[in-house]
Amino acid sequence: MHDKKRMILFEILSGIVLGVLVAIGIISAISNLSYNPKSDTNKSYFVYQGY
Amino acid sequence: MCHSVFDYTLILKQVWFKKDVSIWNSDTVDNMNDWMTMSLRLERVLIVAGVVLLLCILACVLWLRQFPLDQGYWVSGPDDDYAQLLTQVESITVSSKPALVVVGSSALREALTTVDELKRDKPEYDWNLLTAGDLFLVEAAQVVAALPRELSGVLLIEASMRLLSTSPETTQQLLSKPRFPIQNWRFMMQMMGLGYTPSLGLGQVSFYLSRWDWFDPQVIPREQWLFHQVDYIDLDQIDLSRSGQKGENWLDDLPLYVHNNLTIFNVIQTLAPPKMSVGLIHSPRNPEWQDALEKHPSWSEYQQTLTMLESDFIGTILEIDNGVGSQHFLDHGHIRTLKGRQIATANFLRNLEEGQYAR
Repeated sequence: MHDKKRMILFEILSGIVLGVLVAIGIISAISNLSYNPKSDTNKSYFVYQGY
Repeated sequence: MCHSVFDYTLILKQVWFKKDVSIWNSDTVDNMNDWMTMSLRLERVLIVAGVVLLLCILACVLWLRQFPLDQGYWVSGPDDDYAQLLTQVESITVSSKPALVVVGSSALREALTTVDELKRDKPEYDWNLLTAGDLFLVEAAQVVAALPRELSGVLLIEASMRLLSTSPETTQQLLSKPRFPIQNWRFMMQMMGLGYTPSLGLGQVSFYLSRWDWFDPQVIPREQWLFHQVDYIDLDQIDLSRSGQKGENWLDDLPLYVHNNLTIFNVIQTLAPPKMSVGLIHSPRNPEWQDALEKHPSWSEYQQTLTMLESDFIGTILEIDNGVGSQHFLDHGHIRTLKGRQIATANFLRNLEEGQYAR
């Protein structure tokens, strides 16, 4: 019984970790699909020269 | 009972298990082996992971809704032109007055006085200066496609050497990694028709995520956005030595890429709201380098291209830099003085009045 509870807890924690990691991965991947205005290389007085 | 799902889960279980010394002490080795070999229920892990993922997405959406772009959030700095451009485009509504929309680069922004002054001088129009630093033709097409379809009035698109000499590679880069986030289906279909590959349709999501800041979502209040950014730059920090060369470089590339860019001009006409008259406005040019440009082998081709464009669009191309001396310019095309802006704006309004654009 004790082990079963522990197993369920382990599964839930694994799920949470997996979910958060996937969310971070998706956020990172999608944020890279766009021009990043915070990047220093993209800024040059009022004209961006990232391209 | 006794099938491990993945090796790594077994390792995790071992780590987990060894942490709890009481289990080692109290359970028999058989029990422990049972536990160690107990199957991890993958479906339960995946369900929890899915719920967590959905909660993360929901949290992000709720977070976004608390800080709307039109109030100045998600603007990464006073010169974040593309955030400003998105705000402006999203705020355009159809009104009883005809709209006058100018789509162009920072060269046009720096050349004209403020929107408030234009509204005062020509109140019959609903003015929208949609400008962003370095705006390319494909981005102008994105902006035009994002305008309300019911909009009527005049739409002026920038024409310049830079825009006509943009390589297809640069255009593709701008499509794949957009600075202006809206790529609607009409725009995507047109660009695919030209052989380009648009982004995955995640431009808006990516726009917000690239500006995400957990600790300070209000990066810059809206009222701090700079219109005439040339007034705020530190001239000591910028290199102006190659300004004169830029025009010649663009003319070097013009014969190679002019055809590609003319097709994008055609796309812009197709994408424009049907009730709008679409014309062209030429970027201001520093007269200091005019002689050198006119001696360039591609100069005549550039002039012919402009003539060709004039026949495709309504009216003549609006020139606004007549009488603006080189002392009013910062570099090849950005006006830096109030006097220079007043001359350019007066030219603009006069030509607008005299041209076929007047309503």
